[in-house]
Amino acid sequence: MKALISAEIFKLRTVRTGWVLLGTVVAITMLSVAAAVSGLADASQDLESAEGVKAVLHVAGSGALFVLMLGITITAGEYRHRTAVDTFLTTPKRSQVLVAKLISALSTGVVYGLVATSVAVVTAVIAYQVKGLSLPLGGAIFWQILIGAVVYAALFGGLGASIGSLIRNQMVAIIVTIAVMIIAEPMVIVLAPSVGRWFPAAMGRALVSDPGGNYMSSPVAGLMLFIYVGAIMIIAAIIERRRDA
Amino acid sequence: MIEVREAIKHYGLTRAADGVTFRAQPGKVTALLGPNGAGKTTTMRILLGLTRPDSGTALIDGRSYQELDDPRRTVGAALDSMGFHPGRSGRNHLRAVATAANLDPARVDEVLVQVGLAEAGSRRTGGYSRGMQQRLALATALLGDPGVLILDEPNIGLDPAGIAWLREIMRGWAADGRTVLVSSHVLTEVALVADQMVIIDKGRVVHDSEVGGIGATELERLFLKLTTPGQEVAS
Repeated sequence: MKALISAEIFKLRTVRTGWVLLGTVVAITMLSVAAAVSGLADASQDLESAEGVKAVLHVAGSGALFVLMLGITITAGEYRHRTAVDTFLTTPKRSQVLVAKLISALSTGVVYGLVATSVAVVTAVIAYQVKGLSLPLGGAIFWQILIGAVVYAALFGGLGASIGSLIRNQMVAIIVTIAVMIIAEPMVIVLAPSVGRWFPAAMGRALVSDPGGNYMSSPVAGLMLFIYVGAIMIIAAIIERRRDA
Repeated sequence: MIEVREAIKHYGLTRAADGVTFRAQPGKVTALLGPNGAGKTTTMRILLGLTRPDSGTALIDGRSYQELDDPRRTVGAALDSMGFHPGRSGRNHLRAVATAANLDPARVDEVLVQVGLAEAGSRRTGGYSRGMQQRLALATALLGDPGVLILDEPNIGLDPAGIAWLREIMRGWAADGRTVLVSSHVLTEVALVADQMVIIDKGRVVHDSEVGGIGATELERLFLKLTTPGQEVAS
């Protein structure tokens, strides 16, 4: 299993997709944090309070959708580029391949999450200084949001890998994901908030303590998202046993 | 040794394999021949565990592909359905396979030299010609230095020098005592390289014999007689 995970991470490192998506996450996080500080300061919100820190730093999770896309390429990308046959010739027990890919996607998500949170904090420190303020580093809410953002990215990486295992056509997997998260979910959240909070992106926002909605608590959201990832992957693994490669 | 027994596979109403039975012995090049859609690729995919047969068995050294302890060191395969990530270099493609299969990383450069891709190894495969992709597929098959080789139409895309090179290495592998199963449409090549020929038509084995010095013209006549009755080449 260790060799399989190393190989999966090596595969990720040796194509541009992962690096381009990491750059996108960095850029989006910087812009989101800078815009949050600027907008909230102009609205005269107390940015040095716990609520202010929450309102700024929760955007550290803004790039999670891109981690999800990367997760999809880790699994469905094997079919897009017709490399799945080689992968299954090396490891005929396909469930092992799926587990290795899931672990790789989760750990890559952790790396993306760490980079995104670091960028968010550095950007926030600078943006606060520009406004003549000081970002309160440390404290329960500070760490809760940062840890939540890393877990958010990790689980979204895993979610992408599991969706890409179930829907092997990469383009279809991406379109379905975007349709659910960007079109269906916001509508459901508005029309039926109690249902909307069970959608993955709402759980992600709960993980970063997004102050803007009726979300679950962070630990419950993390656990539920983990269950979603595991459940989709188990269904994909069962189906994969019957499928042709 | 490769042994396929009564392998049956349906795709919808189509019988891609209809009781395919044959053996490929060590030390020999066995050619799997047949018209398009005859079931050659399906048979190879069943052997490699990529397609599940409805019934029958396909064994490599007495085991199914899924049961092999060390598949890459046992079997090397190059199929037409294999691809490469266009953004990854040929060398990195091989390194990924070597890492996953716990193979010696030094093998990567050895096989690149063996297939004539030493200089192109660091280039992205998106820029490879069909022939270079075929060579990379062969390099991947050879990575684990396996005793059994399964090659689906390996001549496609190779230039005449490449075809001659492939013929020599296939003969060399057989001379080393390896089992080589190769599918091909190029009957002149089969006549030159194969020891045994298995002809499949409509999912069934219709001929299984030694090649025994048969000429290309005679082989073509036999092939057409068995697979397209009424369209034999006039004598």
